[in-house]
Amino acid sequence: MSSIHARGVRKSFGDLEVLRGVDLDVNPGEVLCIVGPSGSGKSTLLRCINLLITPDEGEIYLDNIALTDPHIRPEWVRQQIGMVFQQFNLFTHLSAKKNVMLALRHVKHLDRKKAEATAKAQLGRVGLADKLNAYPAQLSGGQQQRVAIARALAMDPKVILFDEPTSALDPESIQDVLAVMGRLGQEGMTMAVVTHEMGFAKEVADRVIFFDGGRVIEEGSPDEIFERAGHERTQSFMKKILR
Amino acid sequence: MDRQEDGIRSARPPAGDAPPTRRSTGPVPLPSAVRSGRPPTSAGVRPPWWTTSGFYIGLGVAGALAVFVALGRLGYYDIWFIVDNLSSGFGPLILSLEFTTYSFVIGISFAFGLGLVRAHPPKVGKHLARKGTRGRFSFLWRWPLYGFATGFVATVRGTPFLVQMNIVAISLAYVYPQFTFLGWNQFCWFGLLALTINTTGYQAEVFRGGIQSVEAGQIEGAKAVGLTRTQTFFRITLPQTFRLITLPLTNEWISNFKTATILSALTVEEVYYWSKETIAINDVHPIEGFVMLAIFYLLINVTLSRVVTYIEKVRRIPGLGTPIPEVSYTKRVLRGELPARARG
Ligand SMILES: Nc1ncnc2c1ncn2[C@@H]1O[C@H](COP(=O)(O)OP(=O)(O)OP(=O)(O)O)[C@@H](O)[C@H]1O
Ligand SMILES: [Mg+2]
Repeated sequence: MSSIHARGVRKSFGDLEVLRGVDLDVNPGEVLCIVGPSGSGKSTLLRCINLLITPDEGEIYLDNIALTDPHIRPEWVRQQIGMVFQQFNLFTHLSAKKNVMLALRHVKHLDRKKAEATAKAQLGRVGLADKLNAYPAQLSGGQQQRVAIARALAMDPKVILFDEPTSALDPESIQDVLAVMGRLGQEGMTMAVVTHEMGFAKEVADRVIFFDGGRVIEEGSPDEIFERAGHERTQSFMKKILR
Repeated sequence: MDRQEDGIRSARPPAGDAPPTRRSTGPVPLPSAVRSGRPPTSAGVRPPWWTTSGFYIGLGVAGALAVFVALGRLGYYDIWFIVDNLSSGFGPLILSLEFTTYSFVIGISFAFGLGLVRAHPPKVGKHLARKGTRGRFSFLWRWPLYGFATGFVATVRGTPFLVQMNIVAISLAYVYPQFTFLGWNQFCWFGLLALTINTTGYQAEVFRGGIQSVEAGQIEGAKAVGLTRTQTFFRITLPQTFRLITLPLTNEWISNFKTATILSALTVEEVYYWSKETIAINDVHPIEGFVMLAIFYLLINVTLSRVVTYIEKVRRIPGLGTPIPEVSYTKRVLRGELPARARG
């Protein structure tokens, strides 16, 4: 089991300072939920962690490896840290099975047979054993998101980041996806989840972080953050979303 | 399940008389179209002939032919002259097709490179901001390359082909006034070069558009699973680009085919030259000459479009490229695929 540690991470887009010195820990086997208002920089933070964006300042560690070291290949980092997006980002021109196989074949260099077996196993794990040959456009949103989770899992990552994985889904699909994620959490996967699903956070999260204005405002157990927040900004945010 | 809800009508009229209790007696047999596993749209019930697109295309062609024959009977031109002389244009027509296709194929490789350069405009700040030295100063060679590509495309698209061709041919004629190579004289080669330059410019824009219309999310998804930039390009961007540009590239071939008529101004004996010099002037049948030309172009271009559309349809991946037009509700009712009235 692996962990992520971020220290003093800063990132600006032009004049806009999005991350203003973020310290964040995702402990081994922990499910960490990140909540916060729109535009507060949650997505930017996750993208910095797997180097889809290069932070301007600060260090990010995976276990004890400094990912921000310029000698580290970003491709290697992304292979270790899976990512699931709000818009799924499945490869439109590939079937579900091939979506999962692509990186196994060309990043992990598995042979076709092994890659195919892994893809089938992972798609079975998320309940899509009967959709191997469907193209993304032929799947519902919830099914696409589960393919995306299978694609991330197939790489055998040490940590998985979820960026609002259920925000683009209808209520029924949300439950399917959350069920898969909940199971992953129980199996001991280290996960950082940006979400507004309070039910999920209360049930599955070990710890919740309230993020605003490019900083961690408050952290604690789900109960502490949702019910007994200390900070007034957290309180007003919770009032808005719990209403 | 009620058959009406399947959206498929069996050969028998819908069973309004079948009591709902039937459900309890066992599963309702599926219509044959469903049992055979074929999509219900084309199987089982044959659509009435007058709702098919083929019928309307046939109607259009028949109408055009009728006008064509009627004008002939009225004495506007001599139909029999056209019938007798059409085959003499096959040789020049093939030469036109050669010019079009050679320039198009040579153009593709250059256009691909130019389109690729144009799809990624250099940003000094973005590159300078990179950590380490790798790629940090790449704007130093990216800028001139991008500038050249953009200037080339702007020039080709912003000036008439006739002007481009004359500049190429006249300046080259000073250096190589006369030669024959592989059976073509100097003007054929100059013309081919001009046509290649022209189609390269247009194709470059097609490639640029195709590359840029691959969604950013696709690239992000590829990066997130650990693919390198090169792998992402060849495994994600390129396959999707090819599906997105099939139609615009076909349009460019057709456009190039029509542009090739201008080579006649260099006395290249392609099909326009033939119709003008041989038929219109020598044989004194001007209208017939150009009608024959129109027949040639129309036949080839319409055939090509239909073949490409067919290939696109067969090789289609859902969610990528030209969408299949939705069949309207009314049309589906007329074809017998849906009941006329939705039942409550
Ligand atoms: N590539 C970029 N270039 C410029 N500005 C950006 C870029 N990415 C994000 N931003 C800006 O950074 C800020 C934070 O964006 P971010 O997507 O991280 O917010 P978020 O917390 O994920 O919001 P949401 O809940 O709406 O997803 C926003 O103001 C956004 O406009
Ligand atoms: Mg976001």
